Amino acid sequence: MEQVQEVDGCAGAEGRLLLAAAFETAPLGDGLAGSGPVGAELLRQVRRRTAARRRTRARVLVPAGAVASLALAGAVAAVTLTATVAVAPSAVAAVTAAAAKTSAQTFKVTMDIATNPPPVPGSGRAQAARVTGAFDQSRGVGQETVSGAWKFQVRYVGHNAYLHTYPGSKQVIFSADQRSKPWAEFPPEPALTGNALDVAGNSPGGTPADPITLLRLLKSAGKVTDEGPASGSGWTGTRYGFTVTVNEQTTVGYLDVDGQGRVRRLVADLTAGVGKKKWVMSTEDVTFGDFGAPVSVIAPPASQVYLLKGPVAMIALGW
Amino acid sequence: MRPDLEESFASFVRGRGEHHLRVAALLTGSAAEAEDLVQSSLMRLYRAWPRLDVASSSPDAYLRTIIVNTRRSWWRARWRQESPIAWVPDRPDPGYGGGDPADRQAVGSLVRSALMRLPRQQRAVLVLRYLEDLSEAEVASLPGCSVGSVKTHAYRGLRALRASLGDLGEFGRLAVNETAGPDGGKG
Repeated sequence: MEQVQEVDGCAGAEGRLLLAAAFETAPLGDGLAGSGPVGAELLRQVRRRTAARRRTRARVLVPAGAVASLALAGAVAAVTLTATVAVAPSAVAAVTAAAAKTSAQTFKVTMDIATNPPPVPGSGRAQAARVTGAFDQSRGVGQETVSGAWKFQVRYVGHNAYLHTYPGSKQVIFSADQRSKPWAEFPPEPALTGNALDVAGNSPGGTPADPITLLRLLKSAGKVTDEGPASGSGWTGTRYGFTVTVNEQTTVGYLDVDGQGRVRRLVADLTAGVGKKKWVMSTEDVTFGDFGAPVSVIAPPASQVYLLKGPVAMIALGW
Repeated sequence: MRPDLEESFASFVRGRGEHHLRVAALLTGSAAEAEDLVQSSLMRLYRAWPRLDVASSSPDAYLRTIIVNTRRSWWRARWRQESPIAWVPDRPDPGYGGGDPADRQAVGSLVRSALMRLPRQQRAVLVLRYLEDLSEAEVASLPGCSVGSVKTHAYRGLRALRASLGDLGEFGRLAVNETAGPDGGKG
């Protein structure tokens, strides 16, 4: 386990200088740009939102029975009753809600992934793999089994994650212990309040190559378009196209949302690089199902586990 | 709310609003999200204002706690992506007066990009410890942290930040050579 040291005076001083530079030059939102003193404009915005909130609450307090009686009387109500008018959700709201709802329940996935090397001579070749997995984020458990170009398994059990590598497979060698113990345990982040599934895909430099991270991306989707009806075995729903860009990685694709607001299928191209160096890093086709089914994942026997050390653990989790 | 309380709240926002907005920008990595976060937090502060003992406790501390708690609830409820879509320095701070503004802007932009590559909690601890200048105990008093966690995040976060920034070249000399005083700053 890494030994944590105190931050010394020099490091702290440098940190203050760097944070100060970041603070002083932080750009402000478009709503405040060019609006005069920032604090005064912020105050105006807060007052506007507070007043709007009061107006909304006043409308909601109108009894639903009043609406019904107006309708029966044949009166045309010109009053806008926000709480009683059914408004179709925007495409963005539908996608983010579907991602949130899907993440909140157990589910199984099958994902076909194809990767491409950077357009640089000697970078390697295209590869393909299939991932099958099951997740229960509320309990912090999950499992992914990868076959094809790569062969390994990952188990998430609370604060711990375990990686099973296979002899002869083309995996990064983390430790000499790998030859006698097939499971590598990622040291838990003691300060994290979440579980290993929270860490997966949220680590610096992690690529959104797994379903959990893809869903997390969609919860703050950028551009979303309604592309019409969609259907699958036993369900019908709507297809939405989306584009999300994070740290110069752009994810473009579509997802199908069923009538119960759950993600059923997600197809995404992940691109990286900018300008002429841009390339499609991977293509993923994910099918979600078995919602609500129990997910049972247990930690491997201790005798088969060795502890990974160092930052490589975090990078590997974001595979 | 009583007129005197209204005025004290307004005075606080006019005087300290921009500061908290910039802090929120570092926490969220997005100017738009920071604006939304601070507005929502100020609305909560406004509702609580008549009950607060602002004479003995700084409203900054109250607002800071609300901002941190609001952000945590947003992150858990909506799994909001924290990295900005594109971090482009829009305009230099009009109030900045010292040194070369272009260099300062460049350093700031680099540091903000590096901050956004850190895990959320490390970023929050760095901002609260080394920008807001809270003690380890004060940071730990915010829900969800222990003093040990604060130490861990601070150490790892600074190390990762420095590694991420790499060789800042001339910009590094600009930032690092500005000593905070004979003692090199607080530890």
